[in-house]
Amino acid sequence: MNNSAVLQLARRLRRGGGPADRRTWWLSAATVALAVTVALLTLGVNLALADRGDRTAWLRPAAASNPVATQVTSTTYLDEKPVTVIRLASDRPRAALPAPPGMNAFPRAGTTWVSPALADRLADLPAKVQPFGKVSGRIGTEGLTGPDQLVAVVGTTTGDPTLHGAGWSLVSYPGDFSPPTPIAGFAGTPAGGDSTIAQYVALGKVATVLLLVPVLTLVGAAARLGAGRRAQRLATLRLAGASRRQLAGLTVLEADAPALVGGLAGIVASWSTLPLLAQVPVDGSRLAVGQLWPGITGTVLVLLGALVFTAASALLPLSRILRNPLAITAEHTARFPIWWRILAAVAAFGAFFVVTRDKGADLAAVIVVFAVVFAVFGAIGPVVLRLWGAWQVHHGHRTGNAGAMIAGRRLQADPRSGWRAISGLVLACFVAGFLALFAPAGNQVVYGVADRLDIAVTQSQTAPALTTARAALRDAGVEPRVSAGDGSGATIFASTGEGETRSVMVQLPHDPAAQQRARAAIQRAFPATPMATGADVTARDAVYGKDFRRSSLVVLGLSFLMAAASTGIVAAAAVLDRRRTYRRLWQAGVPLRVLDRARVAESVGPAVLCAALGMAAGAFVALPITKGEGALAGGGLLQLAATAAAGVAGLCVALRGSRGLLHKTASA
Amino acid sequence: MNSTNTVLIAHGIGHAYGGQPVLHGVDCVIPEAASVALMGPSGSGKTTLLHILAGILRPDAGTVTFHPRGRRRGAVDVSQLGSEARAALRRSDFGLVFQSGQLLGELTAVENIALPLLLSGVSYAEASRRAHDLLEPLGLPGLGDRRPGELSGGQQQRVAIARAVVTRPDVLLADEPTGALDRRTGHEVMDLLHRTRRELGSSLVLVTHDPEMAARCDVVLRLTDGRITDVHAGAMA
Ligand SMILES: Nc1ncnc2c1ncn2[C@@H]1O[C@H](COP(=O)(O)OP(=O)(O)O)[C@@H](O)[C@H]1O
Ligand SMILES: [Mg+2]
Repeated sequence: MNNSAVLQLARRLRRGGGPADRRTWWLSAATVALAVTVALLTLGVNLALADRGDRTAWLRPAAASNPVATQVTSTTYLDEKPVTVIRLASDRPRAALPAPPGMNAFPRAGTTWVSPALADRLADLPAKVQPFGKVSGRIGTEGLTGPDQLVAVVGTTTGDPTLHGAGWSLVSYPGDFSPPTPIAGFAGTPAGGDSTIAQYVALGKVATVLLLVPVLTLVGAAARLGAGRRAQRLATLRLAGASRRQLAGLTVLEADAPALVGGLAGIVASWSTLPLLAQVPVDGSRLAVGQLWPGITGTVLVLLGALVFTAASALLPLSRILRNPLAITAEHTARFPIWWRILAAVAAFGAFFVVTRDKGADLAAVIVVFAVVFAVFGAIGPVVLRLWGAWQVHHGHRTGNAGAMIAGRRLQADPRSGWRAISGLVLACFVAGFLALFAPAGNQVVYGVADRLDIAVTQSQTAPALTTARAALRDAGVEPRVSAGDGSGATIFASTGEGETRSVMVQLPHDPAAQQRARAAIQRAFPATPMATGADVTARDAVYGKDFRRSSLVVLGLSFLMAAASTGIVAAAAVLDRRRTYRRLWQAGVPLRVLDRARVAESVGPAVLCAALGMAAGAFVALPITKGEGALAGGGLLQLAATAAAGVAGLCVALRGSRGLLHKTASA
Repeated sequence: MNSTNTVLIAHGIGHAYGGQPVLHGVDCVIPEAASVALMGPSGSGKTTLLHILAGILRPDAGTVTFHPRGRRRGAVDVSQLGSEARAALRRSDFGLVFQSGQLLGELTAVENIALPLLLSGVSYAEASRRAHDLLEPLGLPGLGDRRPGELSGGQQQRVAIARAVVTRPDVLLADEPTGALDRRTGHEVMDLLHRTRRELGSSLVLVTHDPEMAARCDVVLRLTDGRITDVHAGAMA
């Protein structure tokens, strides 16, 4: 048999297969499609977040050694939404200056360029209450993180006092700030310090780690579909003298054909989901479809990854067939070493404590922990199932329950397949336990006073700032109710790094029009100074909490969806692999009900047990990372209960779904 | 064959798969405590007829009447029963033996044998005792704790026979039970099947294409193209 003969044989085997084989084929394809869709979307979100991070890098520039201009960045609020304001000035001829991203030239002094979203908001305001002066142009998409970003680029003169002095370097509410910095362009590396997006980038990576395992489990399950039948066929071919290479080739061809079709379908599915995903606001603004698209390279890599992983999963059992083709046909009980598994688990948990002892929410630590936890689960899950199986057999004998006896013996004989059936669910439960503790408490924190605008000032600036504020408000026709605070109880905490910080507190009028005028006047009077009302910061803070909850629900939902799919597929595969025995038993009068009950007993009991263990482990692992800050209070606990219920329901649906297959297979 | 009683009477059985007729008006009678061989070329409809007699398949035409031994219950028309009732009948009144693939690989030999009793509500202690009692006479001494994968083909078929007879069924139905065994082992297994059947006083319907095996039965039916073409007494019976 040469290679083309292998190809021909593969085609022949495929064409010769019965309806069950065709079902298996399509089921594999559908599974890979789901996995590839999730993988591509996850990759897309990560790339989009990274891209947003890159696009915000120029807002916090590092000082250049050969500067051509000066930049100061601050954040202010409009309708409780953060607006990033970049002020630029240079003495050099404009033609020689670099253009900021999304603009065609360096801004002339006295001009203001805004993002389209900000332009839309400003368009509604009368000229008198324009907080950033007259708008001269719009910033193009290359300069923006997304369609909803609010940015203003203000050209000013080198004499502008906001471009001198220490500037605000440390601001305790989310937003981009940088003190006056000499720059050489807009493509340099960002200065240290985190922008808000950094939190999101880290969140995206954790989500990826959490989703990666369910995705791989799913692809592995797809590769296992029909593995029993394939093993029989390969064993027969091996007995007939087929070589290692021929069998491996045949296996890869058989496993990768549906994976390829499924992978392509997954690409189409993810591609058509992108516009939907692009509607979801992240950090208050949407991601663009173009940012979410992983590109040809990313797509091809994901597809190749799925094919390679499928092939590897399918090839894994091959070595056993090569060694002893008779063992397959005789259905031998596999040897199963317990001790090294328990040892490995103990060692891993020891390592967990060493690794996480002094590390906080370090992403690398999170990844290490997950790798360890998943490995530990894989090692001891089958042991737990085997013990459970022994108990089931005992129970079945005592009560004369044939279903329990069959289920227990099956778990004892092959705890690894039993584990495969529920591992996805257990891992999803682990994620649920982890997120429940990680989730920020559901109750909203309220900052400062809702309608009091706090402006950060240094001690020496306090007196002139009070005067300036009063004058600006009077100019705007608003009664000036302005006072100085010592900084305690202020909405924001900011520092220039030099001396103490105080605050000037402006009580805003109730009338909306007057309020608008007051804020615009103050903004124009303090163009690069941190300022916010309690309502602004409260709303800003809520965005992250909301995004976190939303994304953790999405991660959980996807984990459970994939877990249910894996379980259903493994259940279907188990039925298809045993169809001859099921058929014979049914013919001999064994009610399908009993066989079905055995199937349920084989997976639901251990699933509930292991899922509970998984949740506990998840919460346990989250503890040192959150340093006990997260609370299992209210929302988290509710989320945990809901996901546990959803998981068991998903498992039951998966088993029910394959019951029809069992009936059809056995009694057709 | 002195008994005038019959356990199974098939009348006018017709069956088709997807419009392709396989059996045409087959009539046959299985007497009480007798063995009947069903012979015929491959594809002549032997398995189909056996499945219809056992209530696995419902015939398109005709009736199958089951008279429980000693008339302890009234006769039933197997072909009219629902699938649950037919399954119950197979479990308690019939014993089935197939060529292979009928044992659960995870259960021990004793557990496989005890299965039908457990399903009928017998306690495991009692069921496994009765299963153990069958090991010796069926030539499986000391093998009760082995799994099917650890037994030879002949031993597996002995376990299958033990499972079929553990409920002391009225009728044993066997579809080429020695088809996968070598000649010598096949004959040993067949000896066992006949001996057990006689001890239990059960009837046997044996599908075989081996004339020697058929000759050991009381009656030999020949099926050709879906019709009974010959009925004669077994030569060695
Ligand atoms: N499930 C089925 N679907 C379609 N045709 C079948 C099926 N089972 C058997 N047949 C056909 O019915 C005929 C009789 O089959 P069978 O009863 O198995 O014969 P035998 O046991 O005598 O070899 C054969 O031609 C076979 O191809
Ligand atoms: Mg046949």
